Amino acid sequence: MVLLLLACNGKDAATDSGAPENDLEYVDLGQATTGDTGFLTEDIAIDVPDGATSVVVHCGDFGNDLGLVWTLDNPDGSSLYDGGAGSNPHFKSPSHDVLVPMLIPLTPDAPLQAGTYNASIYVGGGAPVTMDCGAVIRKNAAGATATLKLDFVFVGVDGLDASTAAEDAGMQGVLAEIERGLATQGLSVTASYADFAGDTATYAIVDVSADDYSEFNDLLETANPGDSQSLTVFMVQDFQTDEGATILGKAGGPPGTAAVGGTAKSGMVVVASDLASDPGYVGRIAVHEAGHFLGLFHTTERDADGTHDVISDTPECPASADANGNGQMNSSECSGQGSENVMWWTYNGDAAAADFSSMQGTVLRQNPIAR
Amino acid sequence: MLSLLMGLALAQDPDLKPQVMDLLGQMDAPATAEDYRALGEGVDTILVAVAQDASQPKTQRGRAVQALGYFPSEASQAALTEFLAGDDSTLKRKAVFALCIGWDAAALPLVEPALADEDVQVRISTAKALAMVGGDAADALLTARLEVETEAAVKKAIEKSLGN
Repeated sequence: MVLLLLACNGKDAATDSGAPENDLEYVDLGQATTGDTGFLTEDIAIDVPDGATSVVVHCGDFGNDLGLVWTLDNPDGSSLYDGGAGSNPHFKSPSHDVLVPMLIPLTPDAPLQAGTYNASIYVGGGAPVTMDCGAVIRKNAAGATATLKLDFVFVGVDGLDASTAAEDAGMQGVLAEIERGLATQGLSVTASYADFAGDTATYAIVDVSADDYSEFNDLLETANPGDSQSLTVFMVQDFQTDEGATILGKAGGPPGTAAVGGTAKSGMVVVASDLASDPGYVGRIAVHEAGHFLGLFHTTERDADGTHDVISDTPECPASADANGNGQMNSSECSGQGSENVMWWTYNGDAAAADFSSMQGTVLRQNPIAR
Repeated sequence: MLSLLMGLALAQDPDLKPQVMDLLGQMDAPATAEDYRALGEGVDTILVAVAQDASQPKTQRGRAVQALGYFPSEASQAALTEFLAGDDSTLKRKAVFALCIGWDAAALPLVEPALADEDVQVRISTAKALAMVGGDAADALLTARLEVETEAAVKKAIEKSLGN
């Protein structure tokens, strides 16, 4: 694993968000081990105090194997999530390399409860794994408004760096679209700008393959080095697979390890090649990825298999809408049924303004870094 | 040839282009060869039209160029050769990958000049694309470039492609 040092020449547009810090408690949850129980860890206990709003849990490092939450039980003993169950209306856990992040709650329909949650994690690969687990608990309530601080880091973007970003029309256009998208749910944005101080020639184009996301992970491990209540956004020239196909943007997670720096899920990457010519498009991608980082999933997934998010007020496009039978939920087929939401699975250029639902907004504002 | 292809694209099933655009705009992960091929006939002509359309976002044009590698034909090779000869480094990088995907060793004479491109990222991407081709001929190109390359990041990419 490549260790990068982020010695950025930071230049804050606003020194900080100006919003008061959230009351966060960092908890060491100890180690969790797979092996004797097959591929599952023993239960990991997460104690939540009265009045808490949200908790981010992270367990890793297990390298390039894939892991996910297998079970998650509420303090009252009921199941919040069971990886072996057919239906889990209030929680999701996709598979992750390196570490498993989880955010509770993922929907206002199942708010955080005081008491002890118990989680188990599944890690593939077959070999016993010992992980270090931790949690960040947001103890203060969320209001109807919040501020999100974005720390932009420029990684070899042509014609743009921290010294020019505040006056750059393209960058400010990106920021305007992010502000527009988040403002619909009461979130305002402040931004800081820094230049990447690592190996820019290598990381300007982030190269990944199906079984090796190490460049992406290494970049994110340089994010948020001070565990601050902010979201690091790496702006890169390109982000591509080993076949050269561009990944428009990607967030650690989802959800990301909010307020925890130095992990492979500590930030997000956005391709900036359209920044000058179409900043609204880049901004839309950034809002989508920020939504993932903060705990949102696609309202409806691409494949026509009935997979939706766990937010009950987002439109769901049913598999029956696949009128042409190609197995994909196309934007046109799902017009009025979710394709206008910013968390739709693809960029829908026909949607003049992609926005969040009210309950998605609640999830965003409850995150430990929304203050 | 390209105007003919674009004309064909306009004559396509009107439902097809929105489907292709959805794949070109897919968030978080790119569409695969299987995804594009599953849409049936006519996808390649739409990809050429999108790739040529300067009003489209660069990332989507680049995705269209790269995806042409999944549809190897004389027409798509002609389009890719034009992007390779152009002055847009992003589209040039994607054309290199597409040619290596679609034509394998037969693409080597076409992509060899990109190993000496003035843009560092074009050289890095070409080194990586040649790793997909593999074999003695690709290794010979990479080895020859390694002897004269001065940029550390390019040398690192070449050495990785050579398995060093």
